Amino acid sequence: MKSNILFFNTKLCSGCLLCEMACSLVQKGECSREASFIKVSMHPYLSVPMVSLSLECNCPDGEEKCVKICNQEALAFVPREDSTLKLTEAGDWFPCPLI
Amino acid sequence: MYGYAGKIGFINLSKKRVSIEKVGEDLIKGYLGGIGFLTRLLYDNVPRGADPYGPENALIFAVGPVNGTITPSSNRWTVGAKSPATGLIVSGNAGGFWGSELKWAGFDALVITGRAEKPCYLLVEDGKISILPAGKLWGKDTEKTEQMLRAIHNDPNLKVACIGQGGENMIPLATVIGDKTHSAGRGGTGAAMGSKNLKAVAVRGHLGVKIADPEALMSEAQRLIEVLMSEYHYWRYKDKGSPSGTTLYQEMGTVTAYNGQHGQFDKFDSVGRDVYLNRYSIGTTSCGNCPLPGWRKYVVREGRFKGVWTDGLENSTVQCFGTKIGNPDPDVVLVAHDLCNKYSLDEISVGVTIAFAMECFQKGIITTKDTGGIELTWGNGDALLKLIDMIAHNQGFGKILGQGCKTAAEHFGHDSDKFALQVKGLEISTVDPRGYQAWALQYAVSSRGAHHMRAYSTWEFGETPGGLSEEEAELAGIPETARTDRFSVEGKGKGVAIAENARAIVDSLEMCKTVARQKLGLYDNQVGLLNAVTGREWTKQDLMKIGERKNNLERLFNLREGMNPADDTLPWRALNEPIPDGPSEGAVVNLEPMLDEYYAFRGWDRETGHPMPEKLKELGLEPID
Repeated sequence: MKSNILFFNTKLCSGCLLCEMACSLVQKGECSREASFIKVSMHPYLSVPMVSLSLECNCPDGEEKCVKICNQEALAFVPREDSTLKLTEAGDWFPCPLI
Repeated sequence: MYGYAGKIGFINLSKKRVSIEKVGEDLIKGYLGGIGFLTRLLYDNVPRGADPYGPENALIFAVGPVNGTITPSSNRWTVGAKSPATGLIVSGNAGGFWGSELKWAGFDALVITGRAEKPCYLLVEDGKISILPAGKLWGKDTEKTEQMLRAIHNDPNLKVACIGQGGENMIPLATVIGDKTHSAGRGGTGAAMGSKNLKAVAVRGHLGVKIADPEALMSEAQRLIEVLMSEYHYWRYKDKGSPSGTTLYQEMGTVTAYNGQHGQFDKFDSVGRDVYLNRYSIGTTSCGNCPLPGWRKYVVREGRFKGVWTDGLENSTVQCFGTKIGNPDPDVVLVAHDLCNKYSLDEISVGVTIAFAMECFQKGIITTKDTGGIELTWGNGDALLKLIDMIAHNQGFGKILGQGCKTAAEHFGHDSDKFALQVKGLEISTVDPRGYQAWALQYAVSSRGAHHMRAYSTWEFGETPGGLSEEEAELAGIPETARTDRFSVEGKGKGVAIAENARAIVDSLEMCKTVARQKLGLYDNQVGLLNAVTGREWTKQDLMKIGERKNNLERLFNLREGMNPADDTLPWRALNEPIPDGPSEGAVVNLEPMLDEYYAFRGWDRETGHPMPEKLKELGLEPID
């Protein structure tokens, strides 16, 4: 489980799944939603995305490919000590639930 | 197998039989995937002279080797058949998430033949295919169908491609819709699906895609995303949406107003790009694996259509339900778009056919006696919405319009075929061909009839600030004169042929041609990705040959069905009636010299339309039996 907390931006996230593809590619050498630690779910009617993170994610800080591939800059790992501040200034940033 | 799922599902609905076969090396090496696979499979599985509505027709879904990977925009899927609209080969292409899911479910293609005794749907899941009774799904629109299937299977991630009432009623204007709003477009594939009593193909996959060189793929994906973001069109689609194209064509005088009686729409400000952005837009989403969030969502916030919401409004939507029919009400454009998606109708063919009928009404060729009392005046939004409903349900005047404008013109007579804007039975999409000569040529020669996405000659638009890029020039491979003068015919034949071959590779990979319209559409930018995914050693020359082979095989299919070079033409209006006003005033299409150049470059006999024997030999194709 990562110490840093993953936030996603509800306005910037487009639900494209590139973060899932990047994670599974690094973890398993394949592109697979099942193998990804980051999970994007779309509301089936409104097409609004929600991002969550597996407790199993243990990716070294600063090397998270899910964040690097996201060209919309909708993902950010925030150190635990800064996370409450991020929450207060969040705006469209939302902490990803852990699953 | 890397990249490919390695399997094709063959489903005979008459016999309720499913067989699963391995993808052959010949198919992979010769046709790559996606539309390439589909073209070969159609050629081999649809007998000459097959009834498009008969059990002998094949309905094929296909995806490509990079589908379902981190490859930017690797989400597309293609569905094809012998077309109920044209009697020729047809395939339509859509984005969303269904294509990746089919790959993750373990298939590169599905070949569906026969006709189910009762309405049914297919469930494709992790290497298995089941034929299940459609039951109460039949009669429902596409949105409701998706919702019900997810409930039946207790799975919100089930991906659904299906037909609504238009497909069920086998309307030649019907299409297949994936993920609620992703339309596979043209040529009546929805009617072919309805003729098989097939309501939906629901897919769910957990198998993933094995990657030969994960590190190289990650590196290439990141590089190409940066390349994409350096391009003008990325920002135009992201920030403004597809309707920004309509604004461009209005400025160029090619917006086909009032069925092409004018180059510009006199009420354009009420349906232009900024109206949708400012009044309706609530943000964007992406298709699967796509770094370009261009799938914009729109909500009608007030008025009699309050609460209607849809997404994926296209330039073609705004033209077909706005400028072409003289409609200044953007609410109506959005509602018509939503209706067509729900009924699984091809909104381009619907809009063009209704525009044609409106001109017939204007000229007194038809009256309210023909229309069942509908005042088919320009800009009559209520008439538009009523007719969409009647077309989908095959009722009243909708029975005639649902056959498309070619057949409607035969019915109405009085030389109305002169302004029935279609080629080979398929309605002209988007731009007025008189304003862009290469665009006109691609309408004339496209294997499926008048559509712009086979060659997608965007290099003719001059839309890139500072002129066209070197990369676009390389993609086109045509003389500078052809790229810089939209009214010139010089080099356009060669350019369209080269572009058709290049776009065929994007469609075979099943990437998005909007995303890959510039640098991502270059062979040099595709080889690295493809080899990283598949572990094979494709070369640029391999891809060029595959693209050319696909286009030649489509031509052979059509020749086998009786097509001849005279069918590679345009409506009378495009060839003879100059655009009367605006920046393209005076323009008509000078088709013959472009056709001569196109045929010569293709290596096709100008008299018979057949590929020359040496061309067939070069491509490893057999002549028609």
